[in-house]
Amino acid sequence: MINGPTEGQRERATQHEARARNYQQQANLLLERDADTDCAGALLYESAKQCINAVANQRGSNPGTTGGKVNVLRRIAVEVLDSRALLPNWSHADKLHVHADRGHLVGEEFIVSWEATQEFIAAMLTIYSNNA
Amino acid sequence: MSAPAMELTPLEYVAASKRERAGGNHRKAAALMWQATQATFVVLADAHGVKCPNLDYIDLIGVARALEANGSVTKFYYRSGLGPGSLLKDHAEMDVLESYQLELAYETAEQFIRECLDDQRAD
Repeated sequence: MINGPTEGQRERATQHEARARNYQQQANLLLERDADTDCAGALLYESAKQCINAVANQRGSNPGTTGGKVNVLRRIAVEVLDSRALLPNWSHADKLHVHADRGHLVGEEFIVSWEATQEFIAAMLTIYSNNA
Repeated sequence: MSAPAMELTPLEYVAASKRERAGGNHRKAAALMWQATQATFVVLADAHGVKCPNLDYIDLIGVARALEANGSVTKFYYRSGLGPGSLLKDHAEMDVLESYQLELAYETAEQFIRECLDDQRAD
C-alpha cells in the first residue's frame, strides 16, 4: 500500500464488504430455494467483485472498471501471504459470470466453480478482516 | 487405464499458445493453453497412478479430486487450478473473454502448469 485510505475509501470499503456478504447470502438462498444456478452464479460473481472493491478501498485504491479490479487482485495476490489460490479461484468466478449469460454450466462443472468462488470470497473477506 | 496420449508436452503447448498470442490469434492460443492444462493432468495422472480415461473438463475434475485425495496439496488445489485453463477453453469455443480476462487467464494457467511440473520434478 502506497497511500493509506481516505475517510471516504474507508466508508466505501465497509459498504462493499456488507454488500459482498449480502450478495453471497442471497446467492446461497437462491441456489437452495430455486436451484437457479444461472442467477445464483451471477450473484456470487457480484459478491466476489464487491470483495475486491472492499479490499481495494481499504488499501487506498479505487479500482473502477472490472479490468481495474483485476489489476488490484494481481497486487493482492503478490503481497498477501498464502494467497496463491486467489487468481485461479477468481477465474472460476469469471466462469460463473460467463455461463450465467450462456446458461450451460451445469452439474459438477457448476459445483466446482461455485465452490472455488466461495473459497475466493472467504479468502478475500479474511484479508479484509485482517486489515480492519 | 492409462491417460490418453497428447501430441505435445505441456510446456510445448504453452510455447505454441504464446506464438499464437503474439500473432493475435486468441481463440487458437486459448485452445492451446487448455491443451497445455490437459497435458499437465495427463502427466500428473500417470505419475500418481490416477485413472484418466479421457480429457474432457468433467473428467479432469474427477482426476483433480483423486489427486487431492492423497493429501499432499491443499484441499482444492487442482480443482482451483483447472479454472483458468477451462475458462480459456470457453473462450476458444465461444469467444467470450475481454483482453484483461484473457491476459490473467493465460498468466494464471501457465503459473499453475509450471507449479505442477516443478512439484513433479521435486518428487
